[in-house]
Amino acid sequence: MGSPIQYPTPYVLLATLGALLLGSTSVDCVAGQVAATLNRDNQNLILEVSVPSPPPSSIIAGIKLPKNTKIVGTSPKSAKIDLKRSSVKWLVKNPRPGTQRFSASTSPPADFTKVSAEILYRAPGGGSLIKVDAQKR
Amino acid sequence: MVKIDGTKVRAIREQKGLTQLYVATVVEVTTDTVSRWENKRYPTIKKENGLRLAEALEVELSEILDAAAGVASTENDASESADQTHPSQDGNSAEGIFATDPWYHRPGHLSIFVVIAALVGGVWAALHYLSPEASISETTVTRVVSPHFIPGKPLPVFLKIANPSPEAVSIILKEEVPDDSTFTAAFPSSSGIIAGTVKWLTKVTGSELFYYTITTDPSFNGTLSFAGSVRGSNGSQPAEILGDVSTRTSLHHWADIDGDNRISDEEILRVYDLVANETPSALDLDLLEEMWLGEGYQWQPEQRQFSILP
Repeated sequence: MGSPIQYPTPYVLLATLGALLLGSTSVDCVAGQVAATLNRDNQNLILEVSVPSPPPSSIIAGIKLPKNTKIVGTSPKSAKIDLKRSSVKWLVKNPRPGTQRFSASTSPPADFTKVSAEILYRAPGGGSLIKVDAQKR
Repeated sequence: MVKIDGTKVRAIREQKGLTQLYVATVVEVTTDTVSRWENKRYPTIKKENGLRLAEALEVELSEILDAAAGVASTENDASESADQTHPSQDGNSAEGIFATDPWYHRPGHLSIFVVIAALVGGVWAALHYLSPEASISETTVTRVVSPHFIPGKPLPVFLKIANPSPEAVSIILKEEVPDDSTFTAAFPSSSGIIAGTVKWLTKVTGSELFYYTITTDPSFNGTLSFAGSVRGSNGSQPAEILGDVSTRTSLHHWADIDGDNRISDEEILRVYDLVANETPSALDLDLLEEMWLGEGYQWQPEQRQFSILP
């Protein structure tokens, strides 16, 4: 007769269990999230939004400006310019995965340190509302 | 066993506008079998199927029985045997597996078997209970309806269907149109509306959204109550539709969930999340978007329209 079969110890099995559990939860971690960066180019503020796959059903991209800064142009044409709050918003329905670019021209040029931008969307599949602050560059 | 009257079955089915496919799906037999029942080729069926047939036709079992026969013998049972699946009766296989001294009967190995079994069970439990999606073993339907609506204006009722299986499953979805309301449209098109109940017989894969719209008389003042059920093709009993069960009249747009007379970012995203793949004209989303663009809105009861605050 040969040597007895070496059965895995409980520690090895526990490690296997841990790996399986980690693997089962990693799906959620892999699911992409919307990311955004905010740049400036002379009088233009440029918001670049990275849309993951699968994309959310719709997103709202918004730039908030300091008071007394007037928005003189947007691209694409913005959905909502709020003069009281000095903000501009775009509603994008069925966005495609990839990078979407939004820009706003201001007069006078906005103080970049006082400008902020954010993205609002609901997680795909009827998930919760998610707010992403754009990273300044 | 019961003996049914195929002529009555066909008459009731046609009177209610039901297809043989619908009946076959509810009873879980083939359309050929339903056809044979109606043609009296196989008048004797299992009582269980008789009850399901009666349920599909929405009548009592007694209404479809052959009055002259009543309870029948087991002859002519061939009609159903073709549709039933029977587990194999292979008693020898079990003996074969355990014929020799199993390894876990050997001294010292039982504890390892127990440890492995516990771990496998633990992994299974973790995968099935820690993950919300995985914990759903059957197709579930959740109703989403605004807590309020304006009488006389279309109100959408959303039905979110979740099928945890990777494969398409057949479901029968029934939703009762609330009293004091009128059904106006459904997406996808319903399989029929019978006695105030909207029905869909369809296959679903993953998560899908159905919706229908209702209206009330402009003078209506009160609460609408919802009820519905979903039945899968796995032989389970109909399950109640989860989620919202009522809505009441108010002066707020149905999308204005918090009733603050403005459509917020969250509220418009919620709407577009629900109708992501469709542009239902009945819901007038252009008007809703205008409301979102504005500072707010007011319902003008006399003009029966919204005024948008710029």
